[in-house]
Amino acid sequence: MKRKAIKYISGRKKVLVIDDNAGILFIMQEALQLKDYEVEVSEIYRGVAAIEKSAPDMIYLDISFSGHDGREVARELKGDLRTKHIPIIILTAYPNAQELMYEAQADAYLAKPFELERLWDITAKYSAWVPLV
Amino acid sequence: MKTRARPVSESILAHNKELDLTIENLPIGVTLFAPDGKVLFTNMQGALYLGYSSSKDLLRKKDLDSMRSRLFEKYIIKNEAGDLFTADESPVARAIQEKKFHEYTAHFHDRKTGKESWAIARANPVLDTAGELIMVVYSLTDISEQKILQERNDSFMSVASHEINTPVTTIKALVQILQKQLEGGADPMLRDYLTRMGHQIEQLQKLVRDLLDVSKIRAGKFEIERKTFTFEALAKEVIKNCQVISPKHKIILRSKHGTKIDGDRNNLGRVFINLIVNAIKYSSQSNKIIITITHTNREVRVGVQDFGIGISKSNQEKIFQRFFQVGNTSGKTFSGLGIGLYISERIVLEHGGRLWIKSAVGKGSTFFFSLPLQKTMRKKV
Repeated sequence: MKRKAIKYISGRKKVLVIDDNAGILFIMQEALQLKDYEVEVSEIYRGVAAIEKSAPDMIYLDISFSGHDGREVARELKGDLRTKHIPIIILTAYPNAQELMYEAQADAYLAKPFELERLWDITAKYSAWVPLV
Repeated sequence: MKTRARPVSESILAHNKELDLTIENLPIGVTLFAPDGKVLFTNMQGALYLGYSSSKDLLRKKDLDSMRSRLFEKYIIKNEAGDLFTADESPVARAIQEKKFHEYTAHFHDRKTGKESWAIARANPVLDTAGELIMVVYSLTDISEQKILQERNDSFMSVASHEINTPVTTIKALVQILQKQLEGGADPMLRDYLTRMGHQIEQLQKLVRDLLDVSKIRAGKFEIERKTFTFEALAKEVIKNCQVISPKHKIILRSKHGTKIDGDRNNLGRVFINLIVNAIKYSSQSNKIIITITHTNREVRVGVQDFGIGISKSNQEKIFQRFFQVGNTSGKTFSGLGIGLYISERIVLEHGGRLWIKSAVGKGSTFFFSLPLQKTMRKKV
């Protein structure tokens, strides 16, 4: 918590994007770098330890990618003390995005296709998010 | 050689037997109930559905209560929303009590075999000339096949929209990134091209959303959100956007008030857009569209009037149907899928309002929709 607070004051925010579509990863990287975020993209999920090591300020998570169910991944991350503080935003082109967000126990959702302004708003809000508990 | 004519009584008996055989073998379950709930008649399907091995077996039971308990012993029965039916929700009992037609769509889960099926149960009261109940005709129609097809269609639409939206997301974001980077910069032609691309992407998004909504409406899963907003502000916003589509048509707003509405702003905006775009599309020879917003104590009413080709009486009944489009006098149809009014009507109905039309061929059309005002809203108007 203390480490995060210091980071909030001093550094660039880091956003991790997990999606198996190369086009989506590309535009997420381009759009977020325009706003000076540090962006890490991945087509696969490497597990809680890898996420802890990467230490992103927030995660955009696709709902189905490379054989994974994004809801299970989100629940795993939210259920682990090492990663539960990281905001998870469900990124999906499925029409029932809100329902998927609840099932994933995620913090918010961003439905594809989206306006860049919306992406930037959500990123600004959640990357600066300091959990209360 | 002369053949002897059959006596009338013999002929009637023969006809009755044919009729009995026909009803017995219908693929629909038919059961007749007397006003006191006693079973007067049932066919084979009716008996099987109600958990009996033959119509004779059911007729031995002879009353509604024992049949109902048998039915609920055999099946777990749910409605389309997935809520459990209870024995006191019997359509037959309600038809007897209220002398009104009742219909339920139900999902049956056979407790023993695990078999799943869907059926529509209809209870139709038959009254004599004095309005007294003679009997209730109860029918069960198996719609399992329809339901399976509908579920397949829904799942296909969900996957298809996902697959279309993924590349659309990339193209849309790339256009926006380019627009951002060219902001205030050089090439006006490039900027114009990007704006046009952006509009086309929005059209594509709208198409995908409309098709998905049709699928949701058919599956009974279409829902709206409710938030309070100023209705006229929405109208002005939509008119501004629609004016760009056709600068030739002057879109005039006649409204005196700032009405607060408790409803789904985005979806009501779609209704406005659909009606205005239709007005533009079907009135290429004229140059104005008049939008009037009035209200009573109970509702706000909107009229979208064009001075175009108009709609004949016979077509006025069909225009709210899915995929129906009005052609012009030479039979030529207009672009579009013919789902705008179908979706608009559903949106208005979900708000507790209604959508209707007044039109005359060659003179133009006015589409109206009304939305009820909540009690708290009424005072503010």
